[in-house]
Amino acid sequence: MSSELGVRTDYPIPAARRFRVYAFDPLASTSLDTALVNDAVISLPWEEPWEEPLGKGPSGEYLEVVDYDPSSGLFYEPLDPTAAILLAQDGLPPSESRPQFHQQMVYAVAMKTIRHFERALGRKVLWSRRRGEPNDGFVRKLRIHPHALRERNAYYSPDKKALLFGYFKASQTAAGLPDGWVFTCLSHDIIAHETTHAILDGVHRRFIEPTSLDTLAFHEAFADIVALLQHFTMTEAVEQQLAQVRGRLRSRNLLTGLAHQFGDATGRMGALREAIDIEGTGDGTGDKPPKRYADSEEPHERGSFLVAAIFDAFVTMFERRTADLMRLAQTTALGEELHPDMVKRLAAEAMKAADHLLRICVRALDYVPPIDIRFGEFLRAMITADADLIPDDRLHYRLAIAEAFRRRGIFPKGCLSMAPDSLLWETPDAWDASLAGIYFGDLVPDLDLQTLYSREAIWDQAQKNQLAVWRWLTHTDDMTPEWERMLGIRLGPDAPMTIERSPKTGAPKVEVHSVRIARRAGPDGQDIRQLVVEITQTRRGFFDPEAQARADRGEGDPKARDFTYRGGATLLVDLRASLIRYDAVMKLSEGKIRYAVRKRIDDDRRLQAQRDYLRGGADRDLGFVYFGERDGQEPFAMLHRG
Amino acid sequence: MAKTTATVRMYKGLLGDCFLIRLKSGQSVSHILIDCGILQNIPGDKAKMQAVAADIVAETGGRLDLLVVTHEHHDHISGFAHAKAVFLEGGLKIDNLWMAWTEKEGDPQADALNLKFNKAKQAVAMAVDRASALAAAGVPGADDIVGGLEAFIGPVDPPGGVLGAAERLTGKVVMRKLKEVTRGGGGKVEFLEPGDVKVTPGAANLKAYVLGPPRTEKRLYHDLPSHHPGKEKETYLDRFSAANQLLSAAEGAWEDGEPERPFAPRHGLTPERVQAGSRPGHEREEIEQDVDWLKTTYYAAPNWRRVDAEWLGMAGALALKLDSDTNNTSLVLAFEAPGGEVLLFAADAQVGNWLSWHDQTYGPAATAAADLLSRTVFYKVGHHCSHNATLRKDGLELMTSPDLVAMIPVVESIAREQGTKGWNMPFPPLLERLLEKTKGRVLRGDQPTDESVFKKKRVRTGPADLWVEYDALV
Repeated sequence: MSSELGVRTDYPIPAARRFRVYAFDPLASTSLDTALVNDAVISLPWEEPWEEPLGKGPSGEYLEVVDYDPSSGLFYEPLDPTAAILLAQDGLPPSESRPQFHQQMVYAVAMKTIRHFERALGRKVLWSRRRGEPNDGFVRKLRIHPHALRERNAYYSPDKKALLFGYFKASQTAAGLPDGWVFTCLSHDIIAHETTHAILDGVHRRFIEPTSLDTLAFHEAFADIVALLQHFTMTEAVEQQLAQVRGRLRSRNLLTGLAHQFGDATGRMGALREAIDIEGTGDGTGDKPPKRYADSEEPHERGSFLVAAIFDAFVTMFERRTADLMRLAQTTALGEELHPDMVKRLAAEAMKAADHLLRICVRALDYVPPIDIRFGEFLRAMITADADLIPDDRLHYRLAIAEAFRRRGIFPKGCLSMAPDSLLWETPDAWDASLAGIYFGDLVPDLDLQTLYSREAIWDQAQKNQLAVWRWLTHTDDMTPEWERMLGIRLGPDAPMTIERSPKTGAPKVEVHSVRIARRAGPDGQDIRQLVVEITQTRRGFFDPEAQARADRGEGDPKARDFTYRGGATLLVDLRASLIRYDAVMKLSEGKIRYAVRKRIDDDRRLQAQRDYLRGGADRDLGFVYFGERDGQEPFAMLHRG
Repeated sequence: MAKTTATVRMYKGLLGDCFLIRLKSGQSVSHILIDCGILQNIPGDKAKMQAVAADIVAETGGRLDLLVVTHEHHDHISGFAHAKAVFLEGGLKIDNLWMAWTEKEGDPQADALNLKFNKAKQAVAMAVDRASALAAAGVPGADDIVGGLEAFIGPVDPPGGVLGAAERLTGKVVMRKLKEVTRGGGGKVEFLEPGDVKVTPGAANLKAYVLGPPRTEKRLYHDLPSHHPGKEKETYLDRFSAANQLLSAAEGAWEDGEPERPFAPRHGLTPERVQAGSRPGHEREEIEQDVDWLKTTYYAAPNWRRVDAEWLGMAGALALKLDSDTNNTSLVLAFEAPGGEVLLFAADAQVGNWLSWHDQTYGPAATAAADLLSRTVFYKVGHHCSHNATLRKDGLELMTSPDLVAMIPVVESIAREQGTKGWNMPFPPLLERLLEKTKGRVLRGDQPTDESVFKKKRVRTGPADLWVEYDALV
């Protein structure tokens, strides 16, 4: 029956699979205002022939929902999304009391998030490597356990390659239902947030290392940004909320808050987190945030500055797109309701702006350093990524973004100004003329650059290419000081002895983290084909600078360390032919290095900063100091539990 | 009146507190012991504490004028159990026992507090119980949970309890027995309130100001430096909610008898049923297919995929909070000499406890805590010099005496071995500041003392490095 569908018949395969979900969470269904728009449908593209077909669980190419609830000692029967009776009604109708609906919603929202990333990144989402697994640690499916925990928590486990969702009884003061059960796997926001953690870990697995306050906060903030901007994909909900706030998005509403039910159930009288930080709803420009980003030391709080900056940029973009509409409609008087047609137009613009911004944010992930990311660097990455694809910024998106960061005191280091063109990453020859002749031309023929579709084949291809780059880097004779400078690494015998050495050759070790091929298309037909290469080195760090100096000279135990310090670079390599100056002549070649986003391994100031962060941090949660046992394994669990 | 001198002896090599104070006034001598403990699971702990106990008996002649027990934590009271012949069975005569109001049975606030602590402890113990069973069954991650939790609550009975074993000397039992043995020997037990001003019993004595623990709950549950004033209440609710969630799952029902499971009974298959696999011809065919799918997907997958133990991880956060809360019930005493010098024993007081000292004044002269701190010449550093047990602005920075000396009962090498990342004790920025403020006069439990920085002959070290003592009042 069900399995035959689309295989044996001559009927055309549908474009999409449709799943009913809550647009927000079950709480929104208990209020008259929002109940109507809370029933939403997520459309996911029908599986491609090279993807694993959807089956019980639900389980597919990327995800596998396994519903074991250990605290209740029960498995819940898996949903069969291919059953004809469910296909005819877009899956199960929303219901808190049926675990199979939970499975359906968590699957659909997580898949939607994955598809958003793929569209913006221009490649497939792959989960981070799991050491010890066959095929170089390829993990095809992220597992989702909708009822794994009995607590106010949900987290991504890098070790288990799984999302674990908790459920709990609401507090006595909850407005929804005091003492009622609350399921984090039914919160659209929480699902999108946790899925983003997993995707981000797949792109940058070093970002879970707590090397600075920003790095820890970045994971959280980015996950919130994705959840927030995805609010603007649900047409009915956006229209209803925009009508309610009369087209003005600078005041708090259902769209600007995250995880309302969770917030309510845990006694917060509102959303768990809010995207609007600047009180006073006016135009926002004159108001100052109550606290500066530089003063905040708790990861979620610090992250909230990044979230607020992005949301601020979004609202500015929305306002710019709709200024003419608002003038035409002359809706200045308060208390007047907007015409439904006007609401539809505004909603369309809001959704478009959110979509653009989400893509900019996701694309920026290829333009950040491979380790130790700071918010200011993310800003530069966003600006550069966008300028690369869309040179003509007609609506001044980039200015809106830079302005929103500036207003919150998030400044990148080493930039001339906060003008968008100053924020672009420099090309290597701009910071050092001797790097002009450096390119990957002779490497490109060794790489496998064909376009593949199967994720496992892509994984294999990436492993092969990583090896090729690594060989090229370590076995080449002309590894010049220029290369070292550009990559921010040290390869020569004079490198500090704390940089990890290869046991075989005794030379400094280099890790080629990833070699990814990205193709992206801009709105006006722009096409970019890039190679993203991440190269890192590892160095033993010591709290005592004198001990560091001794170890750098090679004294003492070659294994001893207080912490791990990393350096390296992300290279963006143009796969199209471009003009390269080589030995004073211009020649046409592939493999021009457009950007080298580096963090030097021998940067002692940054080393000191990490030292200060790890040693100091008097105000950090005791969990980091004390309860070491688990936080190495579940970095996100503690962050959320603490 | 003759001048009163005081010598503070710190027993060394313990990640735990044990301080013996010798007061002298002319020919009169009296002895005060503050705490006696060592961290659990340290090899040789019993022998070590017995040696300490023997030294205490020898030094005091078998009689204490005053025993102060600051709070119910292993690293402050385990010595009483390790050397129970001395402390719990009459080997040492205890004339007076001081504890915090939190130990007073029949006090409604203390009883409520203990009830909550017990509930949290039970929940943590339950988690250990369940995790041990899972570990025995080879479920990944369960070991870590057991190991992590035991570091907090001390060794836990194996599942099912210890058959036929004598009563275990848990923290609660030790506290109770100390009260009993004191009263049994004709001694007096007192529970101190914040704001009390006492005189230490015995022939030679000092005034004692009781700074903490506070009665205000807001202070009592304030463990960490906070960026969100007013947020503590929420955390406080959270932790008991966490305990309830854990316990309800374990006990099968909420206190009011509601079912503990979120879904109607028709949903769900037990792990046993899933592991057994499908039963042909049984029930509905789809269910049997589901059973097989679950069996293959969950049990036939690599072991690292299993999540049986993950939900017990929340007990870690609970244990951590419980630990800090218990530290905050520390009895904090400031001893004052007739000349005005103050010896401050902060036990393991955390942020809220420190803040509360300034909530009241002391005695008929309405002495302020800030005044006592400004006259402090000896500071027993809080909580082995951790990051959140010495307040900066309203604490250490108010200690302005040029004669300030600090004692830190810590063993850094052991602290650094705890957990996978190690405990950050002593916390470097704090240690640095202490060294500045005392001009290097910091006595550590794990290091030889550089006597040259102290005034002549005021520091002595015992045989086999068992103790170091300092003449705090001369």
